[in-house]
Amino acid sequence: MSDRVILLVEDNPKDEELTLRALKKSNIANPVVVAHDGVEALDYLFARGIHAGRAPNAVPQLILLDLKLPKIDGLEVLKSLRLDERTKLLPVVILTSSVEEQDLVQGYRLGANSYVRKPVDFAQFIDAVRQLGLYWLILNESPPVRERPQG
Amino acid sequence: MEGRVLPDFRALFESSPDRYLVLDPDLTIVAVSDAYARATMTRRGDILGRRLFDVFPDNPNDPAADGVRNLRASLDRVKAGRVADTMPVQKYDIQRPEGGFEERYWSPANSPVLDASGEIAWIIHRVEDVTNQRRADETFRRVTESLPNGLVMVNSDGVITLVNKKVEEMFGYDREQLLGASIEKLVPEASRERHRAHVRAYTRSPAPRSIGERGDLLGVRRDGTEFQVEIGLSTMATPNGVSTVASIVDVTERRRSADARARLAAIVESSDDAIIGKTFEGVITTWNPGAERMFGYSASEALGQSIALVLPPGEVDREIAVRERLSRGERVAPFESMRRHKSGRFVEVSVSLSAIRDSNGKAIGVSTIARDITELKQAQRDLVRARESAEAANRELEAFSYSVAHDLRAPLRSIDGFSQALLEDAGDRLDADGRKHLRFVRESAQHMGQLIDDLLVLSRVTRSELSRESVDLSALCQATVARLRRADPQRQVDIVVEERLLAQGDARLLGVVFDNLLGNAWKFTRKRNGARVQFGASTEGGKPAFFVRDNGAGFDMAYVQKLFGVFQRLHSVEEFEGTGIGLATVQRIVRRHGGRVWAEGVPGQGATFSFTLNEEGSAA
Repeated sequence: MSDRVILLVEDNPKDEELTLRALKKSNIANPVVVAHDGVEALDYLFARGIHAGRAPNAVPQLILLDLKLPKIDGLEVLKSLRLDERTKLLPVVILTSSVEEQDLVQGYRLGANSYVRKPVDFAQFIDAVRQLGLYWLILNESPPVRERPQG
Repeated sequence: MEGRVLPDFRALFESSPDRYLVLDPDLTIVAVSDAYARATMTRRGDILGRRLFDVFPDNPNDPAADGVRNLRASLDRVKAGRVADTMPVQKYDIQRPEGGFEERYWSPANSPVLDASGEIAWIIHRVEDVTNQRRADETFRRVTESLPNGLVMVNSDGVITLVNKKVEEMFGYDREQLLGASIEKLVPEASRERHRAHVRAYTRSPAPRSIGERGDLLGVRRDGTEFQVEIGLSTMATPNGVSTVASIVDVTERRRSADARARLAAIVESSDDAIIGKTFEGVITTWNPGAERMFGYSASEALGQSIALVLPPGEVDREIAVRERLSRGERVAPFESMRRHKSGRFVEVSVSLSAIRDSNGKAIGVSTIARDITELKQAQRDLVRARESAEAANRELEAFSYSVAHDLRAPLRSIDGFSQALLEDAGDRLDADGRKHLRFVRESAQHMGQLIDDLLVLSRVTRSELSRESVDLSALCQATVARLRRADPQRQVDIVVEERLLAQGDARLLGVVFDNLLGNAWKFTRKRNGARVQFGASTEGGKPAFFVRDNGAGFDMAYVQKLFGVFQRLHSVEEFEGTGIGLATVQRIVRRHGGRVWAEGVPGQGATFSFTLNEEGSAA
């Protein structure tokens, strides 16, 4: 299972690097695919556009989703992937700076599994990522990977 | 006398111009004069030898007929007393030869003719036909009774000799109570002297005149109430001297309606609104000073002109349509419109149009009441603009808060994160100062993150809707205490919370109050052994108040004013960390709950923060 992908949807390259560093510091070895906006994220999930060539049945084990994204924002991405049979059950953790009530409510309404605010303090950030990895990649049993419907 | 031939007494009697009838004691008719027979529409030959009441029965169609009874009584008196008897005027209807009865009034007198022994031989019955005079009296009576004015006749001694029905109604007396009484009975005590002066003046020059036209003449009713009268006076010569005839009008109602008209006119005159009358064709018929001021035309300039004088071209059609609707009897709701001042500038008006009706309800024109709403409309437009800009500002604030929450924290995270990465990856290449400086960079970034978070809470406190529910303050307090102990398990703080303190308010916001007050108490007792924090209730001016007390660092009361200001701190960050926003947030929450918050402190001994809730309803 350890080779299953974590999809990190993050437009800020610095946050991207910090998150990757935090994952590494937390000894999480899963490969991480980074999508830099909502379109890229959906392209990866549905194996189209720049990700048209990838194996379509390999779905990520976990999606870390920022909300403020170029082109298609995080909540739109969440809505789209919850509507598709292939990605309907994927664990999605919203990882964002905002704790505006409207974002929280809307995130959960659209089917987010967790909502985590990125702390400023990097030590706390590492701690948060470590706990996320522990829970979602090790403790939690993922839903069974569905075969892609034929035809 | 000798040698003269005696007159023919029978012929003399029968030819007498007076009306005589001679009866024997049995009331049989024995003689009748020609005049009597004519007056009673009888012939001598038909009635001689017949009984009186067989010839003259009562009118069977007059149930009140009492001629037979009264005449018989009079004749009986004559027979019994052997004296003459004069009857008052008696209604005694006469049978027409062709059938039916004719109404007649008579003045009868009966006198005895005695024989030698003193017994009644005959009775002479003599009558005057007073029917015409009676009819004239009746007409006079009816005329006086039907007069719309009170009529009083007073003789030269000031005694009332005649009143009509209107006087009875006006003064509340029966006729009998007035006839023979002094005229002063109808004059109020206080006015009698003036009344006598009127009488004297009138007696000196008794030309017909009116008095009381200035409202200075009062009458008094039987029940003592007084009322204004006007009196027309004239004199009349009577057999008993000169009498005064007074025609009295109760002018209370007339004066009242005149007063009402005057008041209405004054209202119209003094109104700031333009009040305009016009015909259904739009010709101006009245124009008050308000209209003069509003439209710049004087009344003389406007009267007779078309109302189009003050209508901008675009309003003419609407005005005509409205007048047509009014003329059909429809009502027209007030509407806003535009009018043109003489100077050419436009006036925004609210217009009420209604039909003017005469006393029979017939629509005879249109009244317009126009109110200048130029300033009102300007104020409304200003208000709308102010609200729009306030809403825009609010939307900007929302957007600002959102980007503060999201965008401003991201760089801080980078500063902190990469400083840490640098320390970890290249820390051995830095000297102690370099590592210390990197640590300061991280502390500053974290502090700014805290500042942003606290500011967001403060702004949410202002923006969020306030809910009202019953809140267990003690439980909120315990929850905060539990969080503090979890975050800092090694601290030893003695915390006493009074049980079951309840209040009405917003549980989430009141939780923020306890986070701040207890968080402060927790923080400022850190350097103290035997730290103690207490939450309880007291009364402040008769109202319940709550307090959080600690025995920590305290503060100097000289700076108490600064405590609740945003970014105001009484301690350095080295001494006690903090952003200076917490107490400002507490104050804002308490004020939104309609309460007050205040603080007492002694440096080195501790501080007490007290607050009330719902003192004067909730402030926005």
